[in-house]
Amino acid sequence: MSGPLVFDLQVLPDLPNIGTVDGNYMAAGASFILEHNHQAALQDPFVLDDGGDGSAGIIRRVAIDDNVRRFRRDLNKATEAGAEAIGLLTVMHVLGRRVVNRTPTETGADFLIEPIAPDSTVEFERVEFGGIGDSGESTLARVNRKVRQMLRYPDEPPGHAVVTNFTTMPIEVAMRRVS
Amino acid sequence: MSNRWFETLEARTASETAFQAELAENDDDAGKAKELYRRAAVAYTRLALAVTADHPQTRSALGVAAVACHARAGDFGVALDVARRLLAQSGALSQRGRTDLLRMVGNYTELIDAERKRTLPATRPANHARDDVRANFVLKVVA
Repeated sequence: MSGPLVFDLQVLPDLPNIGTVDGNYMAAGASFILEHNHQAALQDPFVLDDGGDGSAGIIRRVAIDDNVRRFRRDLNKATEAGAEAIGLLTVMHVLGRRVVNRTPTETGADFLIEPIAPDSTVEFERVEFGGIGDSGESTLARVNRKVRQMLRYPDEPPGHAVVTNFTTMPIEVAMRRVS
Repeated sequence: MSNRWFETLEARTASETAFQAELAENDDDAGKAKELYRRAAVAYTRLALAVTADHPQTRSALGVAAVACHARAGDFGVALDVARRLLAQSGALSQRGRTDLLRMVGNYTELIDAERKRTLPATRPANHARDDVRANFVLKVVA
C-alpha cells in the first residue's frame, strides 16, 4: 500500500455513470450517519479488512444538503446510502473498478461495476453494499452474510460485498470477493 | 471491457430515472414514483430485448431491472408479459436471471389473482335466486 487511503465523499457526484443527484444523495447519507453516530467533524478514520493485510485511511465528509429531511425521517436510508458511498469509493480505490449501472430496487444487486483496466474481459461484476448504522451486528458477520447470499448462483460473474460499520471508531469497512 | 448496452445514454437515463423514482417513493409521492418507474421500465425493456443471446448476464440484468420497474409502476400485467417474453428465450439468460424472472412471474401472478378475487363480487345474487328456486322445486317434487 502506497499510503493511507482517502475516501473523499465530494467526488461521488462527478464519477461516471452515477449522476449528480445520486452522488450527492449517497455522500450526504454517509456524512449524516457519521455525524449521527459520532459528532460533527470534517473527516473520520477508517480501517479496511479486505481479507488480507488490510489498510487504513480517512473518510472526508461533505456538508449535508436537502437530503437531510429524508435521512432524519429514516435513519436506515442514511445508513444504506452511506454504505453505498463508502462501498463505491472502496471498490474504486482498492479494486480499480468503475460503475456501469445502478440497479433498481428488488433486482438483487446494488450496482454493476467493471474493471477500469482496458484489457479486462469481464462483462461486469455485481456489488452489494451493507451498512451498520445502529445495530449490534459485527462487520464480519454482516459481510459473511452478504457473501452467502451472493453465492446462491454458481454461474454468476464474480462479485464483491462491502460492508461499512458506522457505529465504530475508527469506522470499519470489510470487503470480500465472491466468485 | 466496456459493455456496449450499458454504455448507452438510454441505460444511464433508465438507471437515473429508477433512482429518482426510489426517492419519490421515499417522499411518499406515489404518483410521481410510478410515472418515473414506468419511464425507466420502458427504457430497460427496450435495452434488454436488444441484447444478443451471447450476453446472457447483460440480458438478464437489464431484463430483471425492466420487470422490476414495470411492477413498481403498478403495471403487473406488463411486467408479466416482459418476463415471459424474456423467459421464452431461456438460453439467453443466466441461471440467476431465469430464477429471478420465474420468481417474479410467480409473485406477480399471485398479486393479480388476489386483486381479481378482491374486485369480483363475492356472491352473485342472480345465481342465489336461481338456486333457491331450484331447491324449492326439487323439495316440492320430493315431498
